[in-house]
Amino acid sequence: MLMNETIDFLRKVPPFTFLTDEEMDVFVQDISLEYYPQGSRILAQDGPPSAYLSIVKKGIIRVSMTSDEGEEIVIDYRNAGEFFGLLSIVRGDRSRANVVAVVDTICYLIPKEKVLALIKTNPLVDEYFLKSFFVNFIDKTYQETRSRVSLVGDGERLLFTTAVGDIVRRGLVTVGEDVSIREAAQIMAEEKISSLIIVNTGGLPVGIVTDRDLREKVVAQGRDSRDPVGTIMSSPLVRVDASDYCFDTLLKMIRYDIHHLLVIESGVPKGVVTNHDFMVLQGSSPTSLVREIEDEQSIESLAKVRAKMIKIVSTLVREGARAGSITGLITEITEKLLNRIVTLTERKIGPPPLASTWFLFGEGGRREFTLRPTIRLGVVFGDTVNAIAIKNTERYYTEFGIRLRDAMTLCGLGPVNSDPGGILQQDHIRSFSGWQSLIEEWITRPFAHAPDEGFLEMRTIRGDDGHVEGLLELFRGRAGQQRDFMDYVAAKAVRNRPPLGFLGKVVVEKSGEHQNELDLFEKGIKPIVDSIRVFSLEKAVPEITTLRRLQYLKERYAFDEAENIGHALEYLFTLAIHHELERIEGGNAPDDFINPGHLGSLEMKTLKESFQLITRTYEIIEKAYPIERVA
Amino acid sequence: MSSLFAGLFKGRQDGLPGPVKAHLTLKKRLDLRRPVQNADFVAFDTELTGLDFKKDSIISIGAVKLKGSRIFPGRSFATLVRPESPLQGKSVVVHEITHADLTGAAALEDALVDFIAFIGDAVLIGHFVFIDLNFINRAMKRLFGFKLQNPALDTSTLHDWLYENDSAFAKHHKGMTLKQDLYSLAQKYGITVEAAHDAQYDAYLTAQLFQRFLHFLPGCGIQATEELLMIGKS
Repeated sequence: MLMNETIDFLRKVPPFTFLTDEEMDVFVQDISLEYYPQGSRILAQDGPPSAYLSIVKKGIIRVSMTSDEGEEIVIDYRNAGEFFGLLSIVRGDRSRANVVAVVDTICYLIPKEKVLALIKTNPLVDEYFLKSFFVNFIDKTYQETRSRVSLVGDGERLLFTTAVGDIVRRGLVTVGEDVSIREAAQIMAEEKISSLIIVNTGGLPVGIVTDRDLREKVVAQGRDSRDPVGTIMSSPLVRVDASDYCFDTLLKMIRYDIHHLLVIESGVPKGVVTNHDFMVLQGSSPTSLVREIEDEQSIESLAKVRAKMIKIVSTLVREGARAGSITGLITEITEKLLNRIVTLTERKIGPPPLASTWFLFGEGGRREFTLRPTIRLGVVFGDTVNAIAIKNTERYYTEFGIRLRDAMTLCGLGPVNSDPGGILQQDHIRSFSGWQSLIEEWITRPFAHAPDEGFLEMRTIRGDDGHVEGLLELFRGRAGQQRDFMDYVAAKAVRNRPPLGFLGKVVVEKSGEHQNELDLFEKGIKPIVDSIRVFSLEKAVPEITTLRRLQYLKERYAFDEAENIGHALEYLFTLAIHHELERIEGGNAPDDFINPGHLGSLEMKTLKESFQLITRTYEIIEKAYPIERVA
Repeated sequence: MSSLFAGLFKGRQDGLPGPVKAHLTLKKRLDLRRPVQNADFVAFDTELTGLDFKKDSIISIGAVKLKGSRIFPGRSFATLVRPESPLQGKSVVVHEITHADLTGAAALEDALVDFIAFIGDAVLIGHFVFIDLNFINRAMKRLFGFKLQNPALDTSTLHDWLYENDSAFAKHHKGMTLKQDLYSLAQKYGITVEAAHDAQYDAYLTAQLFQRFLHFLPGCGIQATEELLMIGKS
């Protein structure tokens, strides 16, 4: 019988495992199967509430939210056996998230009334759905995710992801109301705590005494320390639930202007949380890391930055942050690190003879550093007729380049064997006019000079006299009009073929150290970056980050594939960063060589589609440019 | 139904079982202006002793209900029918129904009454539905004096039509298929094919094919049930 298939399926999905046979027989009558073609939107955030609880039978759905800033944030992917729509049917007001079918998907739909009736009549189901804080939990997660984007920038995201119950460190210290103020103060001193919870004769917490109360109400007012502590306690107690996020707790502290809150877990007082605990918590936040970098006084002490950065990235990856945010953050921290090293080095060897500007180009310029960054810096110094000053400046920065390389190596971010060029190469230390003429050469005779097109993504990181912006404008403005240069960039872009072989099979390394693996960066990320650079140059796109370039191309020029290419790039970045983290956690140097054989079927499919997309993008370029010129 | 027609069969109608009698007035009740997503459908399939509708007969009927594109596996129907013509070795291989299986099967008349009661006023869905309808209608005429009154739609016709009329459909499902039989189509559209050739399971496969096709109808401007039914007629 057909319905047995449904029953067998539900029997494996909690809480339907708790249904009796009789309940199941009735229940199954109203369950229907719906099919959603790939890409179809099943629920829309803030749209009408779902009429069904849906369980994925086959396929994958993506749950996402649109942040207040309009960015789409993926919350979760759900596979066979997982459900969605619960919150909107329990609350009945609106859909909390966007739900989209990632592949062709089939779901079992259970009508809302049937689910609500089941919750009422079957205590086990009720417990599963509600008493386990399930609904609350989801709602919280959504709230938190919604504000995630702006928060990553602020760097305080741990406040939004850590439950206050998790940072309460010690058991509760309580005293009775009748204990004297002096005794209470002694206990606080002995226990080295800044607050005491006052309990009534029934043992229930009724108030709190903090060191502030001792200062303001006892010392300042000259109160008798033999008075009962109950007379100076603050009451009623402000409490928070252990499952509340730290951020909510912090808000409460600000609202009530207090520094201590009682944390309740399952109805029982668990401990006291103070504003100090939050500061400790933020010790592993991006902002505090940046602050730390800026406070360090020696290059040696900067060596620990990388480990902390990896920890932050690992947290972000686990929480499903977008690849664009992660590479942005890594770039930000690396930039701060470089800046600090330059400052500390300048202290040692003195300021440069001529005022200058530092800039990142390539990966760093695009804000696309991963945990295996290829750092490329350049220096522009002011023009002068004083030939000696120019010589001295060049010599100064050449030495600087060596010190910088050593410092970054000490920090674990130095150039690797395969990249002998160094971070600041001699050729990239020039006066403004020196750069101007170099760029002019590149543009007019690209095939002779083989310029690094990463210079099209120059970005100032230190010193700001408009030099870099001027050079970039010159480069971009002239390049787009020079047929030769465009041919060069286009031809160079498509030279690197995506690893798709016969019948669309993914091609891996045949032998050597990376046998059966493929270089995600070289074969996936770089081809996309390079192709999008061609389009951006052609259309004079003012952005330098690839994802932003895509956004611009989509909005201004209705470039159809922009969205898909953007998804592919984010996917490849995520996969690469994930792999780099795994390598680091396994004690290895990070690389981007993955073995496609170890990917899940969905991952493999996405990877293949990404490569196919690159092939299609190349076809567009090949139609527009004579690519045979670079062979 | 015209009064002349009703008059002709008046004598026979009196003795008809309840569901069959109710079935006669179906066309009066039917509202085909309903949006496809709210319409009731029944996907069904029959198994036969052979394909010659003059000699062969029905040995099983299976069906499952749908509301729009939603399939209700819990609202399904299956019956074995005592054949009125001998089982042939050739078809036994296909449907694996043997004489022994059919000893306790329902008489054709009872099976049809149950089937009519099950389908109610729904629009029927079948793969090459005219074959199944030919057999059912021949029996219906002989036993009750009239044909099935439900409108019917053929999934293979719908498939061809979508191919010709909707580029989104052709794109989504990448390329034309040559084989039009139920299993080939099911496989092409990613429908899991498990058990072999049981009428109810085939009805379920048909329902799933229909379900996939329905999602492309709004893009073709088809909203009302009557518009959907036009596809079968063109």
